[in-house]
Amino acid sequence: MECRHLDDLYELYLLGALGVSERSEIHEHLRADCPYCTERLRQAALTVYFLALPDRKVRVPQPLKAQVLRRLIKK
Amino acid sequence: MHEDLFARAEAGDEPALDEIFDRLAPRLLALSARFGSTPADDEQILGDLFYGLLKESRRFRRHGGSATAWLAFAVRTGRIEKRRAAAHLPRAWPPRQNPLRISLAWLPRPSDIARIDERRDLLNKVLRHLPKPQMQVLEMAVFDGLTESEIAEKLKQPLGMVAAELRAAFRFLRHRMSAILGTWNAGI
Repeated sequence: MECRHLDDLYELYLLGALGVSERSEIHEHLRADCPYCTERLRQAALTVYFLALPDRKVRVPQPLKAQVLRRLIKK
Repeated sequence: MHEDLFARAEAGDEPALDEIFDRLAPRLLALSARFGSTPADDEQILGDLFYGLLKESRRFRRHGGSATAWLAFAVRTGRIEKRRAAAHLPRAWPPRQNPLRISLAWLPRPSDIARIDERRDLLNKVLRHLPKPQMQVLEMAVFDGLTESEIAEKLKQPLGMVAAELRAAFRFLRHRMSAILGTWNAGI
């Protein structure tokens, strides 16, 4: 597949920021396991991960942890 | 994070699940709060995420993908769709087109995610070099979950100008991040 014209779009695709036609084009390449697009998306995902995930952590109260784990173990 | 931990948690090993929770939950709640969740939402968010994580872990481990990355994308996607629904905006992705559902081959590897976390200070410095207009549209795309055309409408700017700012911002970041993380691959 010829994909270089998509080079500027991978981060925007992962963010859901593209219009329908550009989004659909990358979608088709991803569905077809296009190796170029998969590799580019992996690089783009690093950028999106860095931008979205904050440095800070929130303390998780012990009762909340217990509730969540109990629910998970039940399932 | 050790992949074996996920295999054990999938098999119902409670100490493994406990360890995964302690490592990941504090950052996930911080991420979720960044996208507008409140402490009242925390139990539901964490429950759904960890349930999804265990359900999908075999799938992303098969591709060598990072659990932290999977969770970060799952949190962001969930929060953005919620926010868009509340604002009566169409979904960011039709359900069948959500990249997490199509394939997980694009998920970054755990070693790349670890490198980002190690070099975050340096990467934050890079971010501060972005021109203000680029930073503004970038934040609207990342944190408000708006499309290029919605950003243009909101800022009352031509779509072409917004698209150009966003693409320039990502070109700059891509180039700098590749250098800092040592992931530059001129062959692709």
